[in-house]
Amino acid sequence: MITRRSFIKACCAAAAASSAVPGMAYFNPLGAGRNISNDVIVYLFLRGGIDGLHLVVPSSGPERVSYDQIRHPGVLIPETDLRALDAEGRWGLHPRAGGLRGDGVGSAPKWLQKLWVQNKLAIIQGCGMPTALSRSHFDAQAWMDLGTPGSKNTSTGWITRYLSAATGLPQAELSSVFGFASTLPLSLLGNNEAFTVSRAEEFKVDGFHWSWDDSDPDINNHQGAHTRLANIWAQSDGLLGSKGKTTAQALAQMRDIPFSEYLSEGGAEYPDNGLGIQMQNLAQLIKQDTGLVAATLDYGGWDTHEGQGKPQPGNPGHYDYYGNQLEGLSRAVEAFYTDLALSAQGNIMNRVSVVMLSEFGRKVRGNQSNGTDHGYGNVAMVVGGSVNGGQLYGNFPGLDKASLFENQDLGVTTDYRRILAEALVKRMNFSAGNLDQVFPGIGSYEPLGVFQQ
Amino acid sequence: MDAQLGGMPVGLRGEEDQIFVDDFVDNASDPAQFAWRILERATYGAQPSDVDAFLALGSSDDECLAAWLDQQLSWSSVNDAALDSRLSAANYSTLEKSVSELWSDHVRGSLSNWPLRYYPTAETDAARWMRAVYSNRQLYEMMVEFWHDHFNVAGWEFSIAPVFVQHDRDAIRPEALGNFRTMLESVATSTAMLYYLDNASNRSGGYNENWARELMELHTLGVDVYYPGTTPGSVPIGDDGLAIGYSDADVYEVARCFTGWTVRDGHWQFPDTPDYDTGEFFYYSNWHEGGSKFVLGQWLAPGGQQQARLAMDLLARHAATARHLATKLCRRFISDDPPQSLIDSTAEVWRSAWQAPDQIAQVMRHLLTSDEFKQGQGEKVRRPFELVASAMRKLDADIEPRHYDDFWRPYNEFFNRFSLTGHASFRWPAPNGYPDTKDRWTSASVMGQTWRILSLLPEMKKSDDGPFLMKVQDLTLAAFPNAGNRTAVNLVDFWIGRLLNGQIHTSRRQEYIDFLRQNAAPDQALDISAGFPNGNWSSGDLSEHYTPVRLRAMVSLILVSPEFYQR
Repeated sequence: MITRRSFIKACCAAAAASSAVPGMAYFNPLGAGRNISNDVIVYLFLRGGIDGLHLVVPSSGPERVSYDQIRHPGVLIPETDLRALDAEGRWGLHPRAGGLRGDGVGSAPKWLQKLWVQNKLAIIQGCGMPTALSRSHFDAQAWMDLGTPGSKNTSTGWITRYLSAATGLPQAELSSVFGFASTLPLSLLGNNEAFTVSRAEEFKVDGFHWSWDDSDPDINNHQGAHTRLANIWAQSDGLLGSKGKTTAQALAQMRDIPFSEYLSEGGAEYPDNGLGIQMQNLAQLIKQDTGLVAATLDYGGWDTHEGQGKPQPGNPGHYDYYGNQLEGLSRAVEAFYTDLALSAQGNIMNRVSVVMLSEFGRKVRGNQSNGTDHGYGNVAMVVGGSVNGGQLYGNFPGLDKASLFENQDLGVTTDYRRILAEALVKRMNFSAGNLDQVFPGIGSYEPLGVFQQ
Repeated sequence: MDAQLGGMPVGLRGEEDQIFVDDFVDNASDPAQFAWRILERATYGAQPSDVDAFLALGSSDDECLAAWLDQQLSWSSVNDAALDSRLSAANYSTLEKSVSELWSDHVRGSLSNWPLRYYPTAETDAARWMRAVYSNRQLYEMMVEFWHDHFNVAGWEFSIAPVFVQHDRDAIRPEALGNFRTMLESVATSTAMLYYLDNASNRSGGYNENWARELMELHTLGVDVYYPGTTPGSVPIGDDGLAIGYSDADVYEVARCFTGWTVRDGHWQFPDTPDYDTGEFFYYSNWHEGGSKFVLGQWLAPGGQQQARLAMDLLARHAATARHLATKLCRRFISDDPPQSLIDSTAEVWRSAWQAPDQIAQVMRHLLTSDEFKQGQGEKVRRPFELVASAMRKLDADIEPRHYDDFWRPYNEFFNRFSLTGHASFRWPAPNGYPDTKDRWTSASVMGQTWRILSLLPEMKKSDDGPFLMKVQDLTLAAFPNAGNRTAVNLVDFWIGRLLNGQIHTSRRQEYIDFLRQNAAPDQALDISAGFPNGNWSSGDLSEHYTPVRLRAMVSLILVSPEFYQR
C-alpha cells in the first residue's frame, strides 16, 4: 500500500523529471497512463471593479456612436487603437490583452487574445447581479463571493456550499479546495478543510533559524525542528487533536512539493507578479492530481478612479496603468493555460475552467480625473479547454441614454451565477436540480452555452 | 531548585494526559494550579508574577479569586503605569485625536499619502498588542476584545479606517465592564458603525435597514427570536409586555426610528458649511421620519432623536438580549457549548442589572465565580491572537509594534505573517465578528500559519544585530545560573513549567528533550551560550551544534503543542 506521503513524493520527483526532460513520459505510481481524473473550477476575482468597457470596447455601429458621445476623452480608446475581436468588427479588445506596450494592434496575438483566437476564451457582456444593487466594493464582493446577492450575512461561501452538496468528489490528498489568499476567502466561508495559502511556498513552518529550520542527515542525523510537528501532535484527542494531526501532515506534504523548483511546460512563462506565482502553484497542484476540484484567486488593483490610462499601441513609453494591470492578468492566465494544455501528461486544460469575475463595472462616462467611478454591469471572462470560446455571450445592455442604468451605468442582463451554475453542471457533474443549494433562489437552470458538456 | 519558578511546581508530568481528561478534577489542594487555571482563562496568559500576585491575595482559592476580581472589575483603579509609559514611548500619533481631527487629518487630508488614511486602525491594532501583553487590566482587555467582536466593524475598510480610533476608544472601551445600554448608544453613534452598517444614509424615504437588522439580530435580541414576516404585531407578547421576538416589520420600524442618525460628512443635502464636514455623529432632523413607530408590540411616540433611544431601551432590557449576551459570554469564558443552567443564571444577572452602571461587571463576577469556571480548563481553543499574545507574555516580550514599519524592522514581517492566520485585528468583514468556536480556528491553514508565526517569535529581533524581542536566553540563564545544570531535561522542564505550568503529555516532553539534546545524553549539560546568538558549527557532537538557536526552536515547539492551544 502506498502512503499519501510517498505518493506525493513520487509525483514530485516524477513531475520534476518529466519537466526537466521534455518528452519523457510521466510516471504515475497509481496506474498506467496519466489522466487528471477530475475537473477543476478556478474562481479568479478581479477585485476593485475592472472597467469592462475599457477591455471590450465598441469599435463600430450604434454602440460606438454612443460611446464616442458619452465617454470622457481621458478614457476613450480610438477604434484604431483596439485589437480586432469579433468577425463583424463591432467590438475591439484593449491592445494589452494581446500585446506589449510597444506592439501595434496588428501584431501577432499574445495572451488573452491568443486564447480568444484559439476559441478558448469566452466573454460575457452585461454580467453582474440583476437582483441586487450595490456600488460598495465590500458589499458587492461579499454578495458575489457568498453567492447570495443582496445579503452579506450568509454564513457559507458558494464554493463551500458546492463542495458540501456535491457527490462523488475525488478523495483529496491535500484539500478539495485551495484559496490563494491571506485570509479565508468569503467564497470559502464555513469550510474548515480548505487550504488557504497566499503562496504555496509560504505554507510551511519556517520561522526557526536556518540552522534548525531544515534537516541534514549528513550531520549526525541533524533533525530540523519542523520534523517534530507530527510527533508533537501524535498523542492528542478531540477536534483539536485531529485537526492538529491534519495540519502537521499537510505541512509535511506541502513542504515536500518543490514549489520553488517547478518547471512549467509548453514554453509557458508565468509573469513575476503575485497572480503569476499563484497560478503556477495551482498548475503544479493540479498536475499532482491530488483531488483538488476548486481554487480561488484574486487579482486586485482595478479601482481606477484616477489616471486609468489609455493605450497607445506601438509606443513603448506611454503611461497605461490599466494596460499594465491587464497585461499582468493576461500573461498569468495564458501561462496557466499553456502550462496545463501542453503538459506531458496530456491536455489537462480540457478539465480546467477559469471563471473571471469582478464586483461591478464602472460608470460609462468617466470622470474629470481621467478615471472611472463605480458602476454596475460588467464583462466576465471564461478560459478553458472545454469552453466554447471566441464568442461574445449575453445581451449587451446598450450605451444609449435610454438603455443606461440609472442614467449612468451599463445595465446587467446576465446573472453571474448562471456562468458558475453552468460550469458546475456541465464540467463538475453537479446536478442542475441541486443548484438551489449552492445559489439559493437562482431559479431554473439556464445555461448560456459557454461550456462544453 | 533553580528549575522551579516563583514557587510554581513543575507539576504533573507524563503520568496521564490530564488536559484531555474530560472531567478535570478540581485540584483545590494546589493553590498554584487554581491560580493558573483562573489566569489562563481570564487573561492573555499567566506569567509567574501574575500567579504570585494572585496567591498573595488571600488564604483560600475563593478568597484569592474574589479579591482578584475586585481588582480586575474596578479596572480603572488598576495601576497601568508600565503600559502607559510604553505606549507613550511608542509615540503613536492618532490614538488621542478627536473624531473631527481624525476626519480632517485622515479623510480630508490623506489624498496624496495612502497609508495615512489607515494609521488610525493600524495604531489601534499596535496598541491592542501592547495592551494584551503589558496591561495589568487583563480582564478588561479580554472584554474589549469580546465587544469588538460583538460590535464588529471592518476596521481596514476605506471609509472606516480613518475614524476607527473613535470606535475603539469612545464606543467600545468606556463601557466594556460597564452598562450595555450605554454602550449600545455609543456604538450607534460611532462614525465607523454608522458607515459600516449604512445608517449614515438611512433617511426618511430612503431607508437603509442594515443597522436596524443587525442591531436586533446580532447586537441585542439574537436570531433565535427572529420571526420572518412583514405583518406588524405578529410576534406573541411575553410576560413583560414586549413581543418575545422580532419580525421584518420590527426591522423596518426600528430603521425608521434611526432615520437621521448620521455623520457630518459634507453630504450635499446638508448645509454647505464646514460644521457639516467634521466626521462627527449628528442627528439630522430633516432626515428623520416623524410619527409613531410600532416596535416589539409597543407604540413609540414621536420624539425625534428620542424615539430611537426608546427603541434601544426596549432592546436592552429584553429577556432575549440577556439570553443572547449571556450565551456569548459563557461561550467566550467557559466553553463552546456552555451549560444551559449557567447561561440562565447569567442572563438573570444581566437582566436584573440592566440599568446598573456596573451591569457587565456584575455579570462577569457571577460568571467567573461559577463552579463551571472555577473547575473547568482546556475547553477552549486559543485563537491565533490569544496564542501569540500569551506566548509574548510568557516569553517576557519587549515589543513596540508598528505597521508600515521600515522593511528592515521586524514588525512588517510579524504583521504579514500574523494576517495569514486569519485573525489579524479588525479585519473580519461581516458584522458577526470573529467566530468563537474551535471548529472555526482549527483548519490546516489557520493552524499551519499560526505555527509558522509561533516558530518565528523567538527569532524576532529589534534589528539585525539588535536584541531578541523574546527573552528566551535571559530567562533560561537566570533560571540556571550554574552552567552545569543546563541539561536538556532541566531546560525542557523549566520551559514546560513556565509555558504550561508543567502540564504536558509524557510523549511530548520526551520529544522536546530529544530535540534539544540531539545526540547528547539527556543529563549532559548543554552549552547554550557559546557563539550566542546562534551558536557554533559542530558536526560531531550536536549538543554543541547551534545550541542557543536550538533552545529557541525547542521553546517554539512547546508553543505549538496541544496543551498551549487550550485554555
